Amino acid sequence: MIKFINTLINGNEVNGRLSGLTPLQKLTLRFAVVSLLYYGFAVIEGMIMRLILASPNSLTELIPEHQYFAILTAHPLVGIFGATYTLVFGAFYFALPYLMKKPLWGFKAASWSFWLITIGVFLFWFAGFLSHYGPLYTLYWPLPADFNQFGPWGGTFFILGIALVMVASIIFVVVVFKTIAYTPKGWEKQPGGALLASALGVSGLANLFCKKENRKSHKVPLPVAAIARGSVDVFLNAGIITFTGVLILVYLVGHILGYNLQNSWIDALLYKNMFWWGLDLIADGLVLIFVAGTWYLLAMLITGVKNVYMENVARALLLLELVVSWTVWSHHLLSDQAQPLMLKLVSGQFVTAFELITQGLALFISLVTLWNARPLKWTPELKFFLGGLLGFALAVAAGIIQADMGMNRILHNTQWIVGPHVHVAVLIGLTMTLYAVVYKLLPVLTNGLNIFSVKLTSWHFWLHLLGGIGMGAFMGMAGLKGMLRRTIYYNGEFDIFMALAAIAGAALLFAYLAYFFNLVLTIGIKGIIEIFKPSKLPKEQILPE
Amino acid sequence: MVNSDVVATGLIIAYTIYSLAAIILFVWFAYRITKPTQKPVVKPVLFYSFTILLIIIGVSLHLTTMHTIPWVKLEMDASKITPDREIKMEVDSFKFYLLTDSVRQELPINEPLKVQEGETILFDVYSKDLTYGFGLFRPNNTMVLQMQVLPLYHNKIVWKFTEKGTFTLRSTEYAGPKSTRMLIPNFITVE
Repeated sequence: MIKFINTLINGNEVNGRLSGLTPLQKLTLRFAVVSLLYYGFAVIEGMIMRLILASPNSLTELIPEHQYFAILTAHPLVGIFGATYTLVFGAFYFALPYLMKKPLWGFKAASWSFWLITIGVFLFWFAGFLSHYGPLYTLYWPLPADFNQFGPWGGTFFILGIALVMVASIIFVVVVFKTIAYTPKGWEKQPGGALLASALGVSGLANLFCKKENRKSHKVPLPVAAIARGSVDVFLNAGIITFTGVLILVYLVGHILGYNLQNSWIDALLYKNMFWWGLDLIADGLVLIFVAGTWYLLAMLITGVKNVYMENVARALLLLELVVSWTVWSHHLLSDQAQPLMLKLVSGQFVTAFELITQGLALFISLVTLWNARPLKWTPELKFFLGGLLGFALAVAAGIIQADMGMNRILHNTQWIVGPHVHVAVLIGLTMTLYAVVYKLLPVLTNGLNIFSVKLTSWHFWLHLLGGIGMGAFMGMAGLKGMLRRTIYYNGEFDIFMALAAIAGAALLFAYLAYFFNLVLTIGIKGIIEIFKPSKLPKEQILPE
Repeated sequence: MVNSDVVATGLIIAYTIYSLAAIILFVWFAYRITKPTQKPVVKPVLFYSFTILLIIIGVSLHLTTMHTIPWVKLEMDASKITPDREIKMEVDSFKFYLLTDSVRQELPINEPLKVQEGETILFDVYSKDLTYGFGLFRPNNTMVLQMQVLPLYHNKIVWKFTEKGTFTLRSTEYAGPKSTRMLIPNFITVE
């Protein structure tokens, strides 16, 4: 017991390694700690909702409907912005200088983005939780400004929280592009334009059409190109969400000041198209592009190779995915009869099918890169990496099926959408990929700390993998039996599926606990405090010498 | 005749087979990746073959559904179809209304609407306030059809009923906590 308490306080190794962290290491670890906490929020909220759906009559007295829908509103947003964005921002703030071997531009700005996203997520979560503001993440007009159901004050703080997250996102994008293009003090002048062009894919695309001897070398590593291209979507997405937020705020503040603006001034279909154009950039833009880039990074780090298999194609695919991600939003409106048929056909079906190709090839390239480097060690990062790849193999296929005019008619708004597609993509595909990054970079970020327990990483892996796939599968089956995703069923229609999904959800909760305690026992409470103290080393230093 | 229940059952079977195949492939890959080998590296021909396979799968999904799922053709040809009957409805403040000769009746009404099997029906649903959904469900809760109901738009869907039975109407879209209870049992009977 004394040993356990000692480890809890001091971490896995008592050698003062964490006091020698650089500012960049600390910044990345701060993002990781906040991500860990907000993922905990999302898991607990998810579990509460799973229990309500499995047994609504016994629980709705404890958690009434309006609270359930407030949780349902906060849950995906905390998961996306609180858990995923923070981890991705932190990892990329480190990966960029690490891969480009030059200091991060605008360290102060990056620190600001950390505090803005941390506070912003808490603000919208707390405002929604307290006020029961529950228009869901979809915010279909005029629901977010429906003052018969939701109070304007709760909505105002909710939207302000989202706005802070968007400001943090825009800062992140600026730091990414400036870091790629700028010349650090005292360095020889960097070719900023050429670096940006390479990062955006020009050299990769040109090389596809050149003879082997005429091909140019790439000025930025492949993962940096992925970060740059995903950041374009982050920027566009932040712009649209900010615009939507301002629009909703006008109505909310107007109502508070006693001016009731007419909802009919906003066209619901135009709004929905614009909103989904922006929101889809998260799902089909930056997630797929960032994830592909992270796969390539992991494949290179795990195998030790400098180039992934078919690198030029991989670069061209990132560029193609960027363009595809701008033109696929209509698959969210396949069941909207007012949506023009041509948009449904071209954007909804055919362009969306390209994602099967871009993501399928990214998966293939990653697998072959690993395959060519056999034999590899069965490490936690390799396990989670393969788990992440499997997650996308399952979820992208499910997504392509629902992006079909015929199938969407019976799949739209059912549990199928959020089960085999969304939750498997996010929990298995995205999150397991990010866990692989955490396990791989942890020793680098902590000056060589070893994970507290490799056995716990195995528990984390299996519980998360089986829990995530199981939950997605049972939700999907319920969806195909007609269960809607935003409805509580009180007559026991789908209780069996939901009970099974809750059991799988419990495995995810235990997986999180294994992960949480493993990280806390690795770093220790003192170590976590140390991460939040300022570093004495210069901001330009990436790693201690 | 293919109906939504058949399509959903087919999807369960197809997707389960696909998922199991993918999982088995990854298990095999995970096992082999740790073993040393003398075999040559993967050649580009496999990569390009896989690319072609993905293109075929992506395109064939839409071609298959277009020729096997009956409501796809109805959707594509909706503007040219003259329906046998038109059913006009309104939604307002979490309630469904039936419009008959401009007279508004709140649902449920005494008897279900009656249509004949094989009749082509045009549902025209207009929301006065929020975004709702319009979905028909069988007594066993499986879905027959659905569409989104955007406010201040005439949301129209042409549907040919190919199965007999009495169907429930339900809002399939969230419009606030009250919308979850927008349920009209025995809304329509197909004879």
